[in-house]
Amino acid sequence: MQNPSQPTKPSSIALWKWAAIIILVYVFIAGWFVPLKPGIIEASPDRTIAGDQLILAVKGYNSHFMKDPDQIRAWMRLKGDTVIKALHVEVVDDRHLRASFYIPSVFPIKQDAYPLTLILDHPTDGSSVLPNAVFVTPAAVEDPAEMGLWTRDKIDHIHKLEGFRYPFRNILAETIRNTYFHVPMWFTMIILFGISAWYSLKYYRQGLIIDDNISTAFVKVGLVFGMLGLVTGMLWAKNTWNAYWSWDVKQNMSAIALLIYSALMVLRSSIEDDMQKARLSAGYNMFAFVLLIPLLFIIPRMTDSLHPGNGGNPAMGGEDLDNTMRMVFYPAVIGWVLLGIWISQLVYRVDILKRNQ
Amino acid sequence: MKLNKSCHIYTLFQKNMKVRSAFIFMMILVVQVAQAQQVFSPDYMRSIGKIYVVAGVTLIILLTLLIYMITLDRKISKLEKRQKHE
Amino acid sequence: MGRIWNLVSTEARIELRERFALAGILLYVLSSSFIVFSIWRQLPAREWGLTFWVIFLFSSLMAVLKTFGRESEGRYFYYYTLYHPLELFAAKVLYNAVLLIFIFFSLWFVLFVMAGNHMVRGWWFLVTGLIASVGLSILLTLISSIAIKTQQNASMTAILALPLMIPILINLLRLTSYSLGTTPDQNPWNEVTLLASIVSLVTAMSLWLFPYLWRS
Repeated sequence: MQNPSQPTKPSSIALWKWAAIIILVYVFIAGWFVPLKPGIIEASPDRTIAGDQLILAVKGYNSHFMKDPDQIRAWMRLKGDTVIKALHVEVVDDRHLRASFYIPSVFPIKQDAYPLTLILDHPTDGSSVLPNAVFVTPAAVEDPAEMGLWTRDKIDHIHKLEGFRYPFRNILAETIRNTYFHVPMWFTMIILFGISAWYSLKYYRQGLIIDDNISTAFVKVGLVFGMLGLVTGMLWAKNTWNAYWSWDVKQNMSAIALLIYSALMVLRSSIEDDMQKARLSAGYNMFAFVLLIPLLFIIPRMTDSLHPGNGGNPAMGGEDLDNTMRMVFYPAVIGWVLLGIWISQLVYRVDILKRNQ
Repeated sequence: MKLNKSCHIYTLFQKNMKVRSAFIFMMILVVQVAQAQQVFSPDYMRSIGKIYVVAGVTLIILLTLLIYMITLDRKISKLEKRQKHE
Repeated sequence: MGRIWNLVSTEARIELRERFALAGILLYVLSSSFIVFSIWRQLPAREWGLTFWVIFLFSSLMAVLKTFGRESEGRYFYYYTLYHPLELFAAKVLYNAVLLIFIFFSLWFVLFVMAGNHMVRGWWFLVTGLIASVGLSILLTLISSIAIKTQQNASMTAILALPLMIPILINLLRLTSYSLGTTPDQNPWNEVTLLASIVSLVTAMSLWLFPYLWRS
């Protein structure tokens, strides 16, 4: 303990804390202000009958249709190379255009309804895709001669938009930015719980009560980050999956993790003796953390999930995260984790001060 | 280490009636504006490419961490007060 | 091994001396399945499995609750000087596992009588039940050894154990739906491996932690 009457040199903030601040500032600026690539929000009508003329009103996002309007091309894709090109594309303004198609009355495959994917290509905006834009019901009278229309056109000379921009995904739109705010909450929670388990192990080995204080602080802050992950996830889920809680496996597992650690806090509050409290909670903490591993990393992989990265593929890889997003996402995880450790450090310093008084 | 007590957000908030009433007034204003624009209607949340969802998520995180910091600040003030008495 | 057996038989003798103890568990199983059945009226295969495990979960909590509460503290001190903690733990686990297997079979019988037989692969259900009994008895014994040190023993066991039981329970439900034939899944080995690995994880952690937690 320092003597309060003695003036002490204010200790400088450690380097990693500055790093946390700088990284998080970068994450907030990049996460909020880097624009999205142009995309298609919606196309109407969303259903039609085969063998009909279809005039599709397309609504773009971040698009610049007025620039080179005569070079815009549009396709409807059934699968692979089976496409039809738009007969005519008429630009209304930067955000709206009308594309007219002739949908052949016969299809190369037989189905009750044919989902068609809309593809747009623009010299400056690059190409954009709207999956399942139109559902086509089969025609009453089929003309086999029109089968050739499907193989006549090809998607070629697609433009690619270069630059530091996030991808446009259809249901997500701007909420793709939540990757830097919602997702790192979970990473932080797990890492804080891990550090806490590590200090529990240290307490188990050496029996210093200070390690118990540190371990508890990490659990407390980990719980805060876990709750944040849950609440922000619910808000995001409401606006993409249309429900706050969809009983998705990852939602459930995270809620269970929070339950387990809340139980730890309840356990701590119900024991009077400090040594007893420290020992029991250290034991439970290590036990819980080890059980958390199958809960968070194995079971979600074995079930279908709305979250990306399930059913066998590693989380956060492949096409869910492109190179541009990686450049913000990895720093975001590091920044939030450092912030979590920082807050935990403040908490345990306060707790230790309180115990020493 | 001596701290100027009036610097503390907390004491400022507790002591100063003006600050408090201004804060309450601000809250009421925010609620009014929110109601006027129907913040919680899905149409509003989903306009402009659902950017308000991102705003909501960011706000939730920042506000929670802020509130957590305030409780921590309060704890430290209490400790300091106790230390002074000893 | 002989010493562990000694402890188990002592345990059993204490339990059987109070004749209502075992009958109480049976009654608990019976009345809770009666309640569930009078709410559902009829149990199709899927609901049969869900009901089974819900009742099993709470009955096993109830049964294991008094694992460490039965004896006085003096007796524990005596045990502590006489036996290695792991011997005590093994004895308790063995006894609880037998108790849970007893619950498993009686519950199966009760639901069989009340709601009929929905089993397509009865042997698989038996295997599931045995793994579940062993796994849960280890988990619950460890948790109740923690909870006994607190003021509110009963509620603390439930609070601490229930969330930890969920990973096991999820796999149990999957295996059960396989044995009930309500899933198109034809290969249960994935689930069995996962369940077995979770149980062995629990076992390893318990064997490591129990001597540490028990010391006081």
